[in-house]
Amino acid sequence: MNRAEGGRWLLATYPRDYRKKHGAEILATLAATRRDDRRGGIPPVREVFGLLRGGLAIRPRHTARGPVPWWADGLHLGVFILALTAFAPPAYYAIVRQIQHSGSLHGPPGWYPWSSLLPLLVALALMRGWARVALVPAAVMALGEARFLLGSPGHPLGGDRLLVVPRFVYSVYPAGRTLPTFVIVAGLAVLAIRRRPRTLRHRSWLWWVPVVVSGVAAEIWRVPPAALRWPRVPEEWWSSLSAYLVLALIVLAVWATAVSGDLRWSLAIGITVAAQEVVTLHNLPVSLRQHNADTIVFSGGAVLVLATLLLTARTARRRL
Amino acid sequence: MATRRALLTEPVYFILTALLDGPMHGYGIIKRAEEQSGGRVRLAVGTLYGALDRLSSGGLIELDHEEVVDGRPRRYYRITDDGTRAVTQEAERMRQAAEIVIRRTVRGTGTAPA
Repeated sequence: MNRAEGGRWLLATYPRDYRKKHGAEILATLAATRRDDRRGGIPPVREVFGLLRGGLAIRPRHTARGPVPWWADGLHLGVFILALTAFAPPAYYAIVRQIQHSGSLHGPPGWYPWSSLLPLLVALALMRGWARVALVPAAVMALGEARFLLGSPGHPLGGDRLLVVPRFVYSVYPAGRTLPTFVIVAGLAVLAIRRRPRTLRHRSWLWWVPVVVSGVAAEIWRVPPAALRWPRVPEEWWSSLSAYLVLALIVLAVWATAVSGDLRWSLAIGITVAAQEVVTLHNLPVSLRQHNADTIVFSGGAVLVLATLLLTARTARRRL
Repeated sequence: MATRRALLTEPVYFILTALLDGPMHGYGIIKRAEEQSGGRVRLAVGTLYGALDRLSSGGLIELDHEEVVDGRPRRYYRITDDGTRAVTQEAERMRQAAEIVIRRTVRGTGTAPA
């Protein structure tokens, strides 16, 4: 094995296609600079860091140059993230209760397995890029929500809302858990009727990592302190975890926008924020009068995030 | 009216400048950029290929030809007309900016700085 082949780990962050096309060339150039320095062994930190960072930066740029238009990819990502929020705390607790009472449609009122199965089907179909397949369970969720909104139990139009409707994560106003269902259906309908190209990108299983992490954190939080083998972590820390995850997602979106100048990540974050915070924004005038700090912070944060993304894209497009 | 154009970072400026002399491979660009910048710009390999990727997608450079040397692939890149225009505009912008300072320095001291 020559030195160039031995350094393949340095290309780990590059997209597979790029690595196939340019990997040997990059390693040959690296070997030439090392020969020039008359040094062997592991390349200096500067080169290692440069290659790892370079590979990461090329990923969003290649995505932006892919066959799927930015608006379709952004819409796809936005509704996919929304579907995942049905599995994050505090929605997680609803799922735990559903599992505890699964198999019994006569369990506690309102908690049934369908309400977590449907967003799971939506998320799995979207991972494969199947918008039309995802539209079916999403439409069932929306119908359940509509039945709840249009009537009351016992009424011909009314129904038990939670029979099929998942509980999405929301921030300030409970109405924020109603809107994601309709936003998902609307987004999927647009993706389903578009003509060319029909294909959507596949989504990585890594997207489930924050869901699992927040679920595990929520489960630890639920365990009574006496049952824990390690010192109990302050509750505030765990309750802030979902906020940190959202923040990490936003930072990733800003970074991807900064290196690519593409707007698809702004659209995805915009859809997620709009679906969960539009009620907060709608109530902003009242909140301002009542000095409701939570609402003002959430509204200001949402506007700031979207403005940052748009400005970042604009700046990135002008820089080479 | 001034037209909007891309802002060139220093590494990108020296990469394009290196290619003004003709098609060049990655290692050649690194060496030429270091020479032409007086040793100030030492491109890391990851930085170079990231910049080449951006410049290529922006139409400022393109692949000229490929060859295999000692069993290793070597690609030569060349600057396009758009690339030449971009680096020339940037050089002109820097010349104008430098002139403002140099003119005042000469007027103030009576001599140009060494």
